[in-house]
Amino acid sequence: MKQLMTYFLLSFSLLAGAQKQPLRIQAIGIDGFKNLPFMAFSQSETVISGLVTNEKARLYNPRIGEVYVQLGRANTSKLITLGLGYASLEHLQAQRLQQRITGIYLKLGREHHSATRHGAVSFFWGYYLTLSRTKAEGNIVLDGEYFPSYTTAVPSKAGGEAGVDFTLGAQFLLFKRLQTRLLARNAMAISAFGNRNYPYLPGQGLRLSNGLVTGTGGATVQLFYLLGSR
Amino acid sequence: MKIQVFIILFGVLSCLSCTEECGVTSEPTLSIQFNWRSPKPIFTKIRVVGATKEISPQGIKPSTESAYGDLHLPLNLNESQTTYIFEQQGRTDTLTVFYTTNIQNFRRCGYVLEIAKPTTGRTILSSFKRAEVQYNGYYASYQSGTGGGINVQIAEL
Repeated sequence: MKQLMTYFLLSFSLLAGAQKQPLRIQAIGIDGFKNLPFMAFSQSETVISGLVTNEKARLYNPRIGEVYVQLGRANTSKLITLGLGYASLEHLQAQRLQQRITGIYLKLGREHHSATRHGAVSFFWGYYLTLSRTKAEGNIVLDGEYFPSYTTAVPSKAGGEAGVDFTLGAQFLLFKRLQTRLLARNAMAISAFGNRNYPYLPGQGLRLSNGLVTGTGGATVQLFYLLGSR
Repeated sequence: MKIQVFIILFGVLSCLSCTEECGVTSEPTLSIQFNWRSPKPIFTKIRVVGATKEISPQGIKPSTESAYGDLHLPLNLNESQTTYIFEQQGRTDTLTVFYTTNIQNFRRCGYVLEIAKPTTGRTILSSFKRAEVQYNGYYASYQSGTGGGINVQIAEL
């Protein structure tokens, strides 16, 4: 975790440096939307993780939350976005492997906003670096028909991930300084877990393959409160 | 040109079908294979020691698609052995199969429960004249031809 923080602060100082005006907090935000798809489809089983077997899985009981701070200089359209997130959800694969995947993550990004950032509608694009720490633990549970059900623990695993993503978004002023942001992202992640036991990477989303390097992506809705001058 | 298209199509379809079976997803079964040269025995009753439910003399549905054999019977994972009692007209036989369980991690399947040969001690105990057991694993790869689970071959009744 210490290494993550050091790397994070170093990256932040590189992005923030080389300009003279002081950085100020321009907005603060939250993202809880990422829970909704898992809640909506918690009962549906789908083939996930690379379509390499016929096994189906479902992800349910999500607890995913992110907080954001946007920093920028006065009268600039370039903002540094810092995010801190927590994700926890359960995974049931083929009615045999039950797991809880939990993770914390840091997001560091740079966003380029259109000039009308405080207007009714505006647009932005950006790129992010995400560093995560993930833990997965669980059991194999086999329901018994002729004998009592059988449960045995699978090895618990923890490790780090890193990902870079490209983001496109639109933001709408809801009320005074309250803004909602719709954004879509396309990412590549490197995970310490190059296998099927970890179909969800905290901070990245569902992985598209079981390899060490995988594509991810998605869309979300965030709520921001604008603090900077108009 | 048509041949080339056919070869590419065949390759793509072959690859799509080369999936794996990721072990048991429900209570596993053991399969029993009788000597094909002799008439198959007709059991009037099969009892499984410790089972909470009666089992049909014709056995039950196999737990994996790769299982083969003439008869499939449930395996008790809560013990390291399962004993079966076979009744036919004027004769009763017993068969005890020993095994151990372990967790294996396959890249495409994730964690899989495997039922394997015990590291020490006997593997089979039976009143049948000639019986042997094979541990083929419940994880099946159709490319490498593995899988099929525990298979007991009864060569002579």
